[in-house]
Amino acid sequence: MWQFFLRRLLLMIPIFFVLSVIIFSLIHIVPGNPLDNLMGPGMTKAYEQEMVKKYNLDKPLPVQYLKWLNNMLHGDLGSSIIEKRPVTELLLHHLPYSLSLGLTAIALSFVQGVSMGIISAAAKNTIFDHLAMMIALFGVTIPAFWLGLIFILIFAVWLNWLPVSGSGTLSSLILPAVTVALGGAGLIARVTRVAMLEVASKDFIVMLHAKGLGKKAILLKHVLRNALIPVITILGLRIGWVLGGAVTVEIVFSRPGLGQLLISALFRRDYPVIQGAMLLLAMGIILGTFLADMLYAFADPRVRDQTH
Amino acid sequence: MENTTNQNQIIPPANRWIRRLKKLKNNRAGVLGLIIIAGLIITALFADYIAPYSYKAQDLSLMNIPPSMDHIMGTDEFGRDVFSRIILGSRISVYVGVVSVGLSVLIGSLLGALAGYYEGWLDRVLSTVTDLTWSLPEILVALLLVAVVGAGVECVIIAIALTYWAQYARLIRGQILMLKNEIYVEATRSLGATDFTILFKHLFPNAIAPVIVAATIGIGQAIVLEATLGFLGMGAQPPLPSWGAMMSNGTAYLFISPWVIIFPGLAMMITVFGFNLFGDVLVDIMDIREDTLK
Repeated sequence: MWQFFLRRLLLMIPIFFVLSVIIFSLIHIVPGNPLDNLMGPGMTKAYEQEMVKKYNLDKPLPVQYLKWLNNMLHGDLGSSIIEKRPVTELLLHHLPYSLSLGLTAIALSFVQGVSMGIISAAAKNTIFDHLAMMIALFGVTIPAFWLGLIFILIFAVWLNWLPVSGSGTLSSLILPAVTVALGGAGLIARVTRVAMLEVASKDFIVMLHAKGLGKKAILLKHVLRNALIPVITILGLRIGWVLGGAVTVEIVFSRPGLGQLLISALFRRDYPVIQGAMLLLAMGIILGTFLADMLYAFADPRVRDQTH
Repeated sequence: MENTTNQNQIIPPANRWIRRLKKLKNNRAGVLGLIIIAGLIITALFADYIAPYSYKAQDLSLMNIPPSMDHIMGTDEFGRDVFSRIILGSRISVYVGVVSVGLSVLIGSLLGALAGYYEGWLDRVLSTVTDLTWSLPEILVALLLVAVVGAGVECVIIAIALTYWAQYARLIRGQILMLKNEIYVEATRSLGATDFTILFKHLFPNAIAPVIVAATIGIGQAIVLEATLGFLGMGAQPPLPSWGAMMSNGTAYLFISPWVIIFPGLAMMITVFGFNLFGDVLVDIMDIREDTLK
């Protein structure tokens, strides 16, 4: 297990470097001089000199990248062109809102998706199965931002149960979290259903039936436990999708998370902030995949033995 | 089932398609999906004749009117007919959906086929790039690309194509890897066929079925991604009515005229639902094993 853990931990490093190169290139791929992109309106010649010095724009590209990387590893991602504050400070300010939304949504979508999957696998080809799969299909197909708007209309405007937007209280977290979770839940429900049906047809399950074990016990104890393995993998791979869905949902609910920071930076062409936010989201995805790998190995000993 | 696969090898391709059509006719979900898709395409083609009003005709005396007999889906903040704008908006959705998925299938199949056929270092390089693209959230990749190429319909198409190609590359690669050891490939090669002929004339037609299914569902996804980018203000620029942009403008009037948001969303939902339904049925009709699509 430790060897597996270390191997996966080390694998994160090259992936991180590739992503950092892509994100670093951003400012140089954009048409025009990077200096134009770094300059806001009404900026002086002195500021231009400072920018050239700060981003080493007079040096060759690989040198620029290494300096950027060095600064980044020391926690310096440059400063926002518009807000004139360090990017790290901005990120740390917005991160908690995204983190709380993302984690709640992942937990919710797991619980909802797995229970829907169990119901439709247990009641295969009945009306419950069709209904659950229909909800799952809608969850996957409805864009998160539209669902969020409809939820605001129903629960905040017409029923007046929950706040329209905001970020301070727990009740303001409910609507955005449910919105983000529904998409993930649809996917998880579909994967759970297929995996459970597959496991249920295995010989050892047939044997448990033959031994006279109750249907419920078999389903929840033996089938589900084995079926959860692919579900965990999907969850890890799709953590990025949850974060991505959260971007638009944050806009809809005016939640000051990373998504909102990123979008407003995109509009103002505030490249240091775009780079920083992208980097942080990419790191979140890498970390999510790593955690899912660990869970996977923990749940299924065959995985960690294979890689020895 | 075994009987049908045997027939598959004997029956010439043209008859195979007729048989698939017959199979489709008996599948209610598939017919419904097909009707939705056909309806969307007809709407987009004849939008000018279907829409009762001009999509840009403003009438400030009719601002934010709820749905009524004259305006069945109400009017927006400029007094424009929401129904007519949704009809016209279908054009951008269909255009972006079809062209972007077409482009990404083209990129994906080419790279996937090369990776699967030649293997070795080429495969390793291409597969790494593919997996990396595939593992990133599509909205972030698309946003990043829009930041580079700019906003507008054509830019959105490029962004979506460069976001989606990875899944098609993975599918084609897997298929080619599996098919290239078949006896008929060996036979063609011994007859002196070049790599190019084998790959594009013999392997490709046999490997394309799962891609057709994935692309059908992909068009629906691309339409949603376009709407999402439009909602974030990075899609088609005004006065062109795109569903995403309509909803984006509507958010400011959410409490006054919710119909401006509800109806474009419903239109989009039905569209995506249709593509998904038809795609799921295609799996069945084309005798594709479900695990190839994962």
